[in-house]
Amino acid sequence: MARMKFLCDAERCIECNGCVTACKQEHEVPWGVNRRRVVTINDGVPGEKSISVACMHCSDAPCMAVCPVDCFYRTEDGVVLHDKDLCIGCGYCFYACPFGAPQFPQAGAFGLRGKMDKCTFCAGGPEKDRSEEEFKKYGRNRLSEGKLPACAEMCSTKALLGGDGDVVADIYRERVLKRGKGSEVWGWGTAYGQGKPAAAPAGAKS
Amino acid sequence: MLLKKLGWWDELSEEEKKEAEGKNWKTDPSGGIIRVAMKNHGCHPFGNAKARAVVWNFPDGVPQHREPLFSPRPDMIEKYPTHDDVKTMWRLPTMFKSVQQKNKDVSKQFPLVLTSGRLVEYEGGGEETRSNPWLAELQQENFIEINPRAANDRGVRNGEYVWVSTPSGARIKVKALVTERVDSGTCFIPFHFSGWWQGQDMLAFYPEGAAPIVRGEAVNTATTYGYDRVTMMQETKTTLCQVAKA
Repeated sequence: MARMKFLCDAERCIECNGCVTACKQEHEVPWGVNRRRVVTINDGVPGEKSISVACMHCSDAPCMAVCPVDCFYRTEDGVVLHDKDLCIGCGYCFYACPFGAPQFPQAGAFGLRGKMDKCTFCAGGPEKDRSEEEFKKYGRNRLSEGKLPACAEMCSTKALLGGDGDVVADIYRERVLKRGKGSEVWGWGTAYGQGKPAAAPAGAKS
Repeated sequence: MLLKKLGWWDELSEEEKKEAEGKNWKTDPSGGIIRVAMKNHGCHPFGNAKARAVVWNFPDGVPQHREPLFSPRPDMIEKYPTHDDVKTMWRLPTMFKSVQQKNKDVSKQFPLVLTSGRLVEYEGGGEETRSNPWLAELQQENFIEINPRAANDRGVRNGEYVWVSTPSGARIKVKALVTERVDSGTCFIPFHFSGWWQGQDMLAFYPEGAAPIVRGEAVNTATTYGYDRVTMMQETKTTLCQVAKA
């Protein structure tokens, strides 16, 4: 079975927000809830880079670990999904997530947030695939239709890749080899400094 | 191989020849072809704006530089003045030189060049986007991009409202985006917004349900007089302005 992954190629992203719009339109996401967004660093100065960020469907998802009602589950494609019927809107996942993926539709008295909403990798939720109920809560289930996420399919520069991790990695590797740069955006060095990966704590995966 | 046909091939050095073999101007990694063509034979490095014909019925048979009517450079107006006024251009009297001469020193009052343009989130002129929640959410307010130096001179901080005034007498209220995307003599305002008029939200004047979701100042409220001498296209892309804290 494929392990689904997103990868945004920062050498290609032009900050057009096409992915954001595609997502909003596909799932009819309300104003103020952003399942996906584009982040730009060094805006307006040489070395400017943009990447598109959404739920990264982590292998060891912090949201899943902190959820007090255990509403998260992982599909056999490695997609992290949640059950809005179980969600109590406590917001723990919002604090745990390093990507700011969990979104909440309300801000009210007593910290009322409403049910959490996040990127589903266009894979819907626990309801019956392609049912009306599933669409209302989670949006389109494109994966069950044999399609890939709308954001990645819509990307005009093909910066945002989404799909089987092996295929995504092959495409990205080929690009990096061809242009001779760009891989440094991702990986251990970026996350933990330029030190040797050998310094990783015992048991850590790359 | 154009260089060989022209008989310039032997002006390359031996090393350059090795790399330039089978290549052209754009693909020669040695740079020899460029050197020979430009230095030895005075060729122009790009051909896009080259006059390929003399258009005898245009005012300028061959394109030449003319300063805009509202110019930040009085010395350039002397050197490259614009066209004479036209009594009937497409049946309308159209002013050129008289406006330019009258506004020769206007840059003392309006020292910044203002240019307008497109945002990638917006489709077309803006009406389609302003009325579409999925797109409108991405850019909710009109803004002016201003260099940190120019902003600092005016006491303007990022995200504050500013008044942008132009020689037309109009002034528009937009938010300041302090950024190095523009140099210290230039400002940029996107042109997609409407619904505000000189600082006032005109929401009350829209028929019910017709107001766009996001409203902002239209930059063309502030742009100045000026027309193309041939096509009569109006000058809404660039003018001069002054920015002040609101």
